[in-house]
Parts: sequence; structure tokens; C-alpha cells
Amino acid sequence: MIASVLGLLTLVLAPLQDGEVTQRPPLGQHLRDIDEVSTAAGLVLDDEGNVWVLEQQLGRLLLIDADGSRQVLAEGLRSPRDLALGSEGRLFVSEAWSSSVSRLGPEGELELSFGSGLLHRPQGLDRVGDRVYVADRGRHRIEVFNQSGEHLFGFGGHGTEPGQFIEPHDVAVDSEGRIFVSDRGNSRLQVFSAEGEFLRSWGDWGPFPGLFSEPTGVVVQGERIYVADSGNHRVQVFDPKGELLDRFGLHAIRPREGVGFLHYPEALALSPDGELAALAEPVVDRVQLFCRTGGTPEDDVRRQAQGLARPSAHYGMDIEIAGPYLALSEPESHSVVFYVNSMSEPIRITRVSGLGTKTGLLSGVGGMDFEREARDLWVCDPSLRRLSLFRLRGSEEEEIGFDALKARFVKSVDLERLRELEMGAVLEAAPEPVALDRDGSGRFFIADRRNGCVVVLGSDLGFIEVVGAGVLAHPTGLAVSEDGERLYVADEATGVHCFAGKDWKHRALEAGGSGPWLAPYDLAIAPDGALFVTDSGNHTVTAFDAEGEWLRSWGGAGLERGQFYKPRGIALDQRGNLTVVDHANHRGQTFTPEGEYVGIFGLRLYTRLARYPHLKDKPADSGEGEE
Amino acid sequence: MQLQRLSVGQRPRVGLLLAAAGFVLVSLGFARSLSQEGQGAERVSIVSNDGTYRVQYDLEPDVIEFGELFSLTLWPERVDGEEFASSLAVDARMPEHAHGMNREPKVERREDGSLRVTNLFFHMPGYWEIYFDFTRGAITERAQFPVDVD
Repeated sequence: MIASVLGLLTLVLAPLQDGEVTQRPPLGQHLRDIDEVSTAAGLVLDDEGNVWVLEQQLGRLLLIDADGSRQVLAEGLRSPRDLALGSEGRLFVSEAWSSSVSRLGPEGELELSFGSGLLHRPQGLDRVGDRVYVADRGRHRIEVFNQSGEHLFGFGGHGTEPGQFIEPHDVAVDSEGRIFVSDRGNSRLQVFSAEGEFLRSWGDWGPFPGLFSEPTGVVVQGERIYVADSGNHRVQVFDPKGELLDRFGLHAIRPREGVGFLHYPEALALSPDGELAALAEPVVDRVQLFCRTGGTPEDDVRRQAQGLARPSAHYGMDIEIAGPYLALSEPESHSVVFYVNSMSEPIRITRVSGLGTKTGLLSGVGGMDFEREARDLWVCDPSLRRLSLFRLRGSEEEEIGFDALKARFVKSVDLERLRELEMGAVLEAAPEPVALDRDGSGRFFIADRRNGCVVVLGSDLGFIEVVGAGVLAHPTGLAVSEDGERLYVADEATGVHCFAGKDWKHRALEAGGSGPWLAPYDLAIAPDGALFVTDSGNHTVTAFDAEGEWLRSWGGAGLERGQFYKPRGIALDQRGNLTVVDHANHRGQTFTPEGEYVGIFGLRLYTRLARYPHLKDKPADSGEGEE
Repeated sequence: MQLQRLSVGQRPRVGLLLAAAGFVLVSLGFARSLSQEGQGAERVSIVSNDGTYRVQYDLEPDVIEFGELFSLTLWPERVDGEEFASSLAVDARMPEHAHGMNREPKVERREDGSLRVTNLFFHMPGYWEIYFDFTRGAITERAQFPVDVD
């Protein structure tokens, strides 16, 4: 099956001519949505509108025909991220959990796997001639192989200088061999010669045309460079020198809004004839197809609005609650937003930090830990490999209204430097902290996605030990008991783990009634030892007792009361209730430990069905249900 | 246009001239006064935000004009009396506008052990914060003071 269709696709690719596409009306007219593609990742598109797309969390490769029929072409892939056509009907698939690239044969069979030991969380792929180009997000490099899997050369490394990357997401190669890389963490596109020599870069962080917010998928066709601008929810089109030529896509506001409205587009593909474009939106489990506009003056007027910012509000993914305070990470603004949580709706009181690589600024925003007494907020920055400490001024009695200057940067820990000084013997690479918790003695427990472990530091920030190496692969969240005797870790690749006692005896926790873990993300421990875990793949919260026995799960995908869409952070408040960041629903929900719905906050469009369940069958903009 | 120094919890206000203040001790939450004996009368002392470092600084000129270059002389030390042995980076930022200066400050060590910071420039009026970031090992800690330029 793969052989026949991909053979055709390979043939169609050949006659593409440089400059051909520039003579036609631009791409950007919405054609159709393809829903229910679980965490849609890399894709390939043919001239007829047939789509080959990876389902990241389910580990599958689907073929979705233009008429909507679906076939599973390959299964058992380990968090597949991107695919590229090889010669003779082959496919190359990058797999994040195995940190390798698989070459699939014409029948979908695994022919060989390569890159293991060299790659870490490989993401984007391209194949031109005999070369296979890999954007290696974990090691912040581009690696080049031949189709037999032999490593030819590589370039890059972590950093912000020209030629360095922070989490490169995708790679594309033009007919002259120039290599285009979407440098996601640096919000720029970089261009290299065929040998990997830096040529130029363009872009910076921002919402205006020509700027980026976490660029992801990149495709080169003729003299046009198409870039999925994930955080700006659009596609921008450039010439090879970086001149902005075109843009399309508008930020989705309504729940699961599609029909041309985009929500964090990542993978991008163009049909060989350049008449169609496909965008994968993993956060809403969807692929959208676009065709060329009619090219009329009306089309041009309508397109003036495309690619411009629309107001919206996102929460999380991470959350921290202590006393009356609720802190939510906000990756879009590279900051943490502080709320007072003592009222029915959290009241925003300050914003902490902002985008940058200098001291006191954040490039990536991961988990947090807030100590109420000292008013200290520690924030993980996996992109810059550091922990930053901010301190709230004033007192709890003074928290009225918003004050942009309420939080002050105090100090940071450079984990790359700390590894050089104290951890070099036990850690292969600089830790990339994604989650943080502290026990009652002040020890720091840091989930390290780069080395697949938990790094433990003393209250003086000196290195103590590593926990979970060999068990963990891609930790995303953790929680430690007050006495420091039990450490729970959510790992999106390997499930949920408990490490207990002085020797950190390991035990895996099964998901229980909600089925196997798909993408566990975060955990919270109640004072009685009960454990609560979010699973963004299953759209659930699961509760365990203090002994790690499954108690209950609740949730399911949806907008109604108690339902979730990709729940992420979870935290217990001072009343003992749980607040869950219902991330793709742009809202927070609060529950009792028994899973009973307590309340909700966020945009009305996203909270309406939960607040007013009797309005289930009325349109969201009917006005009914206004407070 | 004037530059002003503040005391605890105050929002900066325009109109008080540093030159007029003459000898000023600034307390910024964690600040403590130093004996000024034997030192320049215009030195100001602040303590870093986690209490590890103390730095005295002197501005030049005393009254900073908007859109004019100015410089700082610093005398840093550790509060616990240990050898300083830390590197220093200086920066300034408008936190309410989420941007910094359009120039990179230059820091050079002088023979007397002090540090001279040049190429400081406020290109916009409004509320600024000047940062001294001390790094020792893997830890960087900040001392800061606010200024208001109009």
C-alpha cells in the first residue's frame, strides 16, 4: 500500500520547477479540516489531497484519503514526530522516545533504525538526494545521514549565537542544497550552506509580520520558504533571503475552531504541485488543508487580515498554588502570571519576567515551586538550562490590583555550569529542567528531560544525587512528599513512577481504570499522601491512595463540566481542592479530591458549557448564560 | 531630565535631584547603610536581593540627562566578608515595557579594585531599573536600584 501511493508521490515531486509557484495566486484559502487525528505530527501531502500523517501519542502512521477514509499504515512507532519520503517508496520517520530515525520499506516494514546514541528527541526531517537531514531538538543540532543511516556530518549546538540553536524544530533543503532550520527557541530561521556553514538568519520573537513565536514546520518549494509560526498561529512565506512574501492563518478563538483558524500549527507540508498545503495542529488533534486563493481583489482585501494577532487567553501549561496564590506559566509571553486565588475567579496581581536570555528573563517556561512564607517563586527554564528565583514584594494583606513591579528577580542557578563543577561524573549533558518541587527540608527535586532523571540539590543549591536514571526517559512533572521520602514522577514516555525510601526503591504506577497512560504530565500530593495525575493523552485526572493503589479517574475529552482537553498542570489549594490546567480548553477547573466539580475559570467561550450545562444545545454566542 | 533614587517601597517621583541629595543612603528592601568614612560622599550602598553582596556605587554625572551617556563606579564586596571572587554584569531595563537599553554597558576593573561601567544610556523616559548581576560558580545574584527619567 505504501509502495504504490508513495511511488506515485515520488514521481510527482520530480517535475517541480523553481519559480513556478510564484506566478499563481497565493496559498491560504481553507479547503477542509481533518479532525480526530490524535496529536497530529509530521505529514506528507499529494496533489490529490491524500494525507500521510503521524499520530504522535498513538505511535501510528495514517493515510487519510481525500474522501476521508483512513488506513493505518504503520503502528508501534515511539512518539513519531516527522516523516520524509525516501527513494524507492521508502519513508523515514523520526521517533522521539527511541531517539532515532526509522526507515520503513514499501510495505511499511521497519528496514533499519539509525541515529541512536547520536540523536536525542529528533524532530523534523527532510530528504534530498541520498541525504537525510534531522533536526535534533534534544541536542540542539542538525545531523545529516545518508539513506543507509551512515552519519555524514552535523552542526549546531545549544545557544543563541549564529549557527547555534535552541530546540531546532524542522529542517528543509532547497534545490541548491541550502539548509533552512526553524530555530524554535530562538524564534528565528537560520540558513546554512550544503556543508553546514552558517549563511544568514532572520526573524525574532514577536507578533508582527516577519517575526516569529516558536517557528516549527518549514518547507521549501522553489524560491519560497513556508514557515509554520506556531505561537502566532499562522504560516509565513519568505524568499530565500528572508523577505516576507505572504502569510495566512488566523488565531483560533473558539473551542476547536478550524476552517482556516489555526491553533499552534506545527508540521507543514505542501503538495508536489504546490497547489495544496497541510498543517498539523497537535493541540487540537487536527489537520487543515489549504488551497490557493481565487486571486481576486476581494481575496486580497480579506487576506490583509491574515496572519495578524487576535486576542486570546491561554492558561499554563504549568501551575503552582500556595496559600492564596496561584501561579500559571504562560509560554506565549515567556512569563509566569500570579493570581490571588481566594475569590471565585482568580485575580491577576502581577506578571513575572519575560522573554530573553539575559539574567532574570526566561526563554522557556517550565514547572514552578512557590514558597509562601518567603514569597519565593522558583521557575524552571529548560531552554536556558537554569532555575530562576523571583520574590514577591509586599505582603498577602496588600494584594489588591495589578502591580507590574511586585515581583523581583533574586538569583539564578546555571545548571550547565553546575554540571561542570559538580555533576560531570554522573550526567552526560547539562540538565534541562522541566519541573521542580521542594521537600520540607528545602531540597530541590528537578525533573531533567535531557538526561532522563531527577536531579536533587540541597537547600544550598549544591548537588546531592540523581534519581531515576535508567527508569525515566522524558519526565515532565514531579512531586515530592513533605518528608522527602516519596518522589513521584510523570514521564510522558514511560508512565508514572514512585521512588521511595533512602535508596529510592522504584515502583511503576499503573493507570488503572482509565486505560494505559498515554501522556502523563503532572502530579500533586495531598497531605494524606493521596496522589493525583493528569494525562493529557487520555484527557483525564487519576487519583491514587497513599499506597499507590488506584482510586478513580475522571474526565474525558470535551468542554462540559468535568471534561478536559489535554489537561496539564495540577495543584492542590489551601482548601484541599485540586485545580487542573485544562490547557487546550484555555481554562482551569477545580475539583474535590473525590473528583466532584467545584468551579471553573477562563474565557466564557470555554467555560460556558461547564457553568451552564442546560445551555448545551445553544450556540456559544447566543448570549445566554452571561453573568 | 533627572535621575532619582528611592527609598523602600516608594514609586519613583520626578523632581528630587541626586545632586541636591548629596550624600544618599538607599534602602531597597534589603539595603543597609555603610559607613561613608574615607569614601566619596556621593557613594550609595545597596545589598543584593538575596543578601550575599554589598555594592557601593557612584554615578557620573550626578544628574543624568535623558538621552545622555552616563557611567558608574562600583565597589562590590561580599556581606560575609569572604573574598569577592565573583564576576559582574551590569544592565538596565524598563520592566513595565519589557525592554532594556539599546547599548551594551562596558565593565572594566581598575587598579584600586573598583569597577568602572561605561556606555550606559537611557533612550526612553520613564521607570528604569539598573541591575548588578554577580556570578560565582553556578549562582548569579542581583542587586538593583530604580531610577525614573522624564
